[in-house]
Amino acid sequence: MSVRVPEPSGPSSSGPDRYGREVRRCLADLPPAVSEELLDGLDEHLAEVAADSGRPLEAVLGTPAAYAQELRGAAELPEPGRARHPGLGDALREGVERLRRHDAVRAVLAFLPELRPAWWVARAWLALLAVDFLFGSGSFGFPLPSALGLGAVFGLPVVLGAVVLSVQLGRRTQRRTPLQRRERTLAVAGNSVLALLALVAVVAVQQRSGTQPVYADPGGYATPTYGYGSGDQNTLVRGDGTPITNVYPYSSSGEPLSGVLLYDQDGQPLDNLSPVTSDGMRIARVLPTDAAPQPANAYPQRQRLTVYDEQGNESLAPEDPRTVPTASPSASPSPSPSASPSATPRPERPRTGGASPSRSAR
Amino acid sequence: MDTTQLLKGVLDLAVLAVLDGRDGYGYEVLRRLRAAGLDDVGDASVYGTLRRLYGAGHLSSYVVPSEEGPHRKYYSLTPSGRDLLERSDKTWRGFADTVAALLDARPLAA
Repeated sequence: MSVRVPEPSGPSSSGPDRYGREVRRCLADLPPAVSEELLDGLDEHLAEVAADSGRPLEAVLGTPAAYAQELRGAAELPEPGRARHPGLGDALREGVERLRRHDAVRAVLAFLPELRPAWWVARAWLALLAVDFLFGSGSFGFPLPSALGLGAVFGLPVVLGAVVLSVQLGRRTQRRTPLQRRERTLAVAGNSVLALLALVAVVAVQQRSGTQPVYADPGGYATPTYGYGSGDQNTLVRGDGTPITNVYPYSSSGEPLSGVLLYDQDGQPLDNLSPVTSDGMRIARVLPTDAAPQPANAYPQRQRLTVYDEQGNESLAPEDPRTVPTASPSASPSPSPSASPSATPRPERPRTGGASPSRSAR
Repeated sequence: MDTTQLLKGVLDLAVLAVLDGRDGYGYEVLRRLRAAGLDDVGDASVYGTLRRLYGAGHLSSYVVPSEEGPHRKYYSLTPSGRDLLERSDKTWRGFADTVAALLDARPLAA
């Protein structure tokens, strides 16, 4: 089937072909997809108009430029001046397209859909973490988001619920393949927001540092009000990434030292211990209230681990005996009454249920 | 009164109306509009309008090979196009009635 384009009748300087070319030139700024869609069939149309009128097309339709302008207006396409950005976008899109055709990139792209379920889970968790950080106490529960301070028992179902929701959303989006444009925009926007929240969460996790001290009073232990400031320091880690949570100085004769102040090469106090152990356990610094407050860079630091009872209540584990001043260097695992006159840390009661000293002190 | 300005507002409605029940290709739509009395309607305007309505899903299209001339791209109303036509119809009639009433209400009107 051939397309027979009738020759323009009369001595016309601008036949349908030429007229169509001129119109195309005036619309050259449009993205190829748009102009192709717009101009497909234009030549046939012009040929018919020319054949029907028997006059030069310019006499019937005006100049090609005016025709292009009118076409643009009727199809509600951007004016040439404003269409410079699509030109830049085209170049970018072409570059991306070329990259996509590369074998390695193609292999990765083909693999990406397999990661989708993982992303569904991750986005739920990361979004909760970010929401927790932004709108909660400004602190992180790790690895579980503290779910706005609800603790592990409530935090876990919240996380599970979010994951289920996210997966359901993902599956539904996938099943109904031809998404409405509005739905797709919404989905893309939602995912972008989640990805952004995830980024915030990841950055914030890296930035958190510095525990807030817990003051121990002689009669027991203070309420476990602790959290991690949104400090911008990085915390200490070993070369292999293991967090450094405390420092134990010893003399050359093997005597454990206490209250040793550490400074770095610039005279800055070394006070950025990791507030979280490699197991993800949070650490609270303990400061005796009846003694002169220790500087943040005095080592070893007195610390207590955060633990959870069956109800999900947070409480503090017994102090590491090694961190208690004048504890014996043999570091007997049983908490020994300290001879220190200042701190007088009491022997720890075994931890059972919600009857933690920290709770009763509240 | 400049009818080209008025046309801009009602061209969608006019194009939908001449395609209602009778599919047509671009030039044919133009001829129908002119035959109906819309002499000032521009070729490119109709052409662009058809493309826009098609892009918005109000029209579907199919190509019919022609023996004596070029291929012709026929347009027909989709359900959404028919819906748009009905709504535009009501809007236009309401608007026209309002303006007519406004003109009739002039004290010096005949």
